[in-house]
Amino acid sequence: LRKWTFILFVILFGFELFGSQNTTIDSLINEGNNIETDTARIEFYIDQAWNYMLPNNRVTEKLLQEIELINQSREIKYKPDVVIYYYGVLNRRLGDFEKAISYYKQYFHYAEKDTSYRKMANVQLAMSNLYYDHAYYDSSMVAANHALRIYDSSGDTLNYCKSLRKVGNIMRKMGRYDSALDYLNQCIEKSTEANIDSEVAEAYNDKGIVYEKLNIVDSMFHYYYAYYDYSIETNMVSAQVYANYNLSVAFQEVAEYDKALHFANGAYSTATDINDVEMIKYSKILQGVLKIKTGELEDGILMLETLLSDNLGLDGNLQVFENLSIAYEEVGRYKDALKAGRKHKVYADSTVNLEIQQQIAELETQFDSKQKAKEIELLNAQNNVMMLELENADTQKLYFLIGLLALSAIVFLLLWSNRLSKRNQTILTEKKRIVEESLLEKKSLLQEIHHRVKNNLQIISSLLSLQSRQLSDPVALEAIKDGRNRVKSMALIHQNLYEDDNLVGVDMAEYINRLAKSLIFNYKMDNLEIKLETDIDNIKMSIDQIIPLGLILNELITNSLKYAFSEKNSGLISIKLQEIDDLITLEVLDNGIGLPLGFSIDQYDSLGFKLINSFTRKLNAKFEIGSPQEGTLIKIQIPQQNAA
Amino acid sequence: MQHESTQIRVLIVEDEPLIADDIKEYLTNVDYCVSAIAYDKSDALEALEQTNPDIAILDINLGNNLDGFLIAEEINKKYRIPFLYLTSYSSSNVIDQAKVTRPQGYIVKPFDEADLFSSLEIALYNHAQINKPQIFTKELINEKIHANLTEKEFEILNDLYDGKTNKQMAENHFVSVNTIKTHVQKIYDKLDTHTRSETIAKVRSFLS
Repeated sequence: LRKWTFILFVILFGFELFGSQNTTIDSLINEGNNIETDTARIEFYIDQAWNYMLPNNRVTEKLLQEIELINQSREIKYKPDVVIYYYGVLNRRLGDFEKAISYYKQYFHYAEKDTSYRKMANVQLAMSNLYYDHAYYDSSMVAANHALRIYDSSGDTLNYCKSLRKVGNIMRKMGRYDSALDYLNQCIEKSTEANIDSEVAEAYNDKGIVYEKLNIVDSMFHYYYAYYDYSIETNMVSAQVYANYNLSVAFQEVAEYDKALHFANGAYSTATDINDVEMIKYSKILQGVLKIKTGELEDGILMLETLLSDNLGLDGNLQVFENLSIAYEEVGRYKDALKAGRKHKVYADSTVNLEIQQQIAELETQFDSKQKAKEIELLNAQNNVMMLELENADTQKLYFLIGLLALSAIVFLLLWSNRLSKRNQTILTEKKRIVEESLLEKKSLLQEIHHRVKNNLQIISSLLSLQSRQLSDPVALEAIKDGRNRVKSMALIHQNLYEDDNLVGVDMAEYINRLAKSLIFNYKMDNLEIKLETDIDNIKMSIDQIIPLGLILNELITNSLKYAFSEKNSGLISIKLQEIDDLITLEVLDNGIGLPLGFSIDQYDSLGFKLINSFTRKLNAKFEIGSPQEGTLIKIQIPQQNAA
Repeated sequence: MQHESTQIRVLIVEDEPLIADDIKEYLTNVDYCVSAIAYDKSDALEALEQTNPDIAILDINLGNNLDGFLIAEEINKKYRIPFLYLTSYSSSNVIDQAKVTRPQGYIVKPFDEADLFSSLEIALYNHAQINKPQIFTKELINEKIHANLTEKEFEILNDLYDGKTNKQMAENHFVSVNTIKTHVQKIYDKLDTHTRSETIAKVRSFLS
């Protein structure tokens, strides 16, 4: 069936080219079919697929498909990872970036499963190259770094150096030339240590490219020549191709076209030696362009025209048509010049586009780095802000602290003054308490004195009372009764004084009423009714005045009770006490028989009047006998001493 | 002694002997019987226990202590007889302390005999009236006792409730004091009592 398919294929398309391919595939598959075991057959196909990878992609693809067919009939697939990897390489060759990356990623998973670090690193490096070719420098960098780490830890110095160089080149592509040189220098250092000359040389070449970008011509030539020397010394033709090519480009840049042409020729011959199709092509372009530049217009035009059927790539076409246009014009082939010019413009536009794309990529990376820088700046700014805030907080803390100190000082002062005033207050309170206590003590002492006085007066009264019970003489009994009443009138003063809280004076109205009622009660006689009338101003007098006054009053009332009403069965005693202009006037009036005519207190020889006389003198008072219509009126005027 | 118990028996609590003697003489003169004179608290409590007074006259200040109040409390708790204060204290703080002990009277020294007498009489009367049963008939009393009270004796019993002295009763009933004393003694015999207070308490227990 397969044979028929191929035959049909050939008939339908009728391409000779495919015819030869098909024969190759058929013969290979036939050869494989003769191998007995599946695994051996697959091994054979794998070898052949790799061999045909560069010269004939179709054969490789076909062989890989054949391997898959064999594996489908097997329970356990044989070397599926290798097949995947080859597909990846194949798709890269075919220019299918997406598929290639996808295959590489699949292969990485196989490698991961097998924990084969070498394979993992290799495929990462392959991915890095693929990204690199398509200007995905960020992804390329990630992959290269991944490979770098694995090679470093697994001690694979050669590949570690290659990875370092790769990272350096990516850095160059990203425009970070300093970092690029750092990585390349690391590579040179490492590979010199390990005597890997090839890597040293490659790193020199890469450094040359960096210096070319940096327009540092001396360094550029130095490293390009170093690479060139190395390639000659080691007789490594593939390196010689690039060394020649790079030097040619370098001399072209500095407009030394003869030297440039010399190295372009070298590049072409070496490339031809190793049959490097790509480099042959690029070398030819360079040769043609340089011939035109050096004036060999016809040769140049011929050379470039032979290239037109080839796929030169954008850059190649641009150079070819630009130089052809110039050369045609020079030789007078204006029509061709115009054509070439137009083509050049088309490619230039594309180039511009590509350049723009590259610029965009560069700008993006720059933007990224700028953004990162900005982010860093922002972070720094934030840090600064934080620092400032901290400083500010410190300042605030300081202010707060100062405020706190000031506040505590104020509080302390307030407390201090409060304490002082409190202490003063305490002292005052204490003093007040002492004063109050002593006052209370004084008061209770006074009360006690009055109590004792009264008790003593009671004892006197009881003495007289006891004595009177021993007597039968009515005169003697009367005398003792008078005595007891005098004692009582004094006791009443103490009682009233005693009941008064402020102890200053005696309520005269209260005292006089009590005294009079008591006397009336004591001297009451059957069939005699005595009425008492009092009109007493609320005067407070000192005890020194009250005792004589009380005794005077006692005598006057007693006198009236004893003598005034002897011929009556009812009587009235009226007592008045008034204070008018510092003069206290006491009036005792009865409606009795009245005093005998010509009565004089001095002449009347009775104890009662003697007492009245002496107490009146004591009070500096004036004694007056009034003359009412009936009865007796006694008036005593006492000058009010400054009360106390 | 028999006759003395028919009189109103007064306990005098007074730390000043002279004053106590004066009171005793006076009370005896007006037909009271002084059951005892006590000069301090322990004397007073002993006298209360042993001399069956009908009423007590208490000095508040006994040897610098206000023991009069404590004696009053003891009377209220155990003896339930009326009492008066006779004191030289007349300050409000002492009166405040005094009144919560519910005295039947408060006499301030120096006192008149008249003051003392009237206070005693009122005190006894009030006390008896408070303790007099609401329904107070001779028949009810006679239901409780063996030997019945005569009409005269019931009248005298009423006078006992009024706090009358023998002398007063004699005047009221136009008989001699001795006759009254005999009547009172007969009442005591029939009720099996020994003092006026005891008699009053017993009759109350019959009729309540």
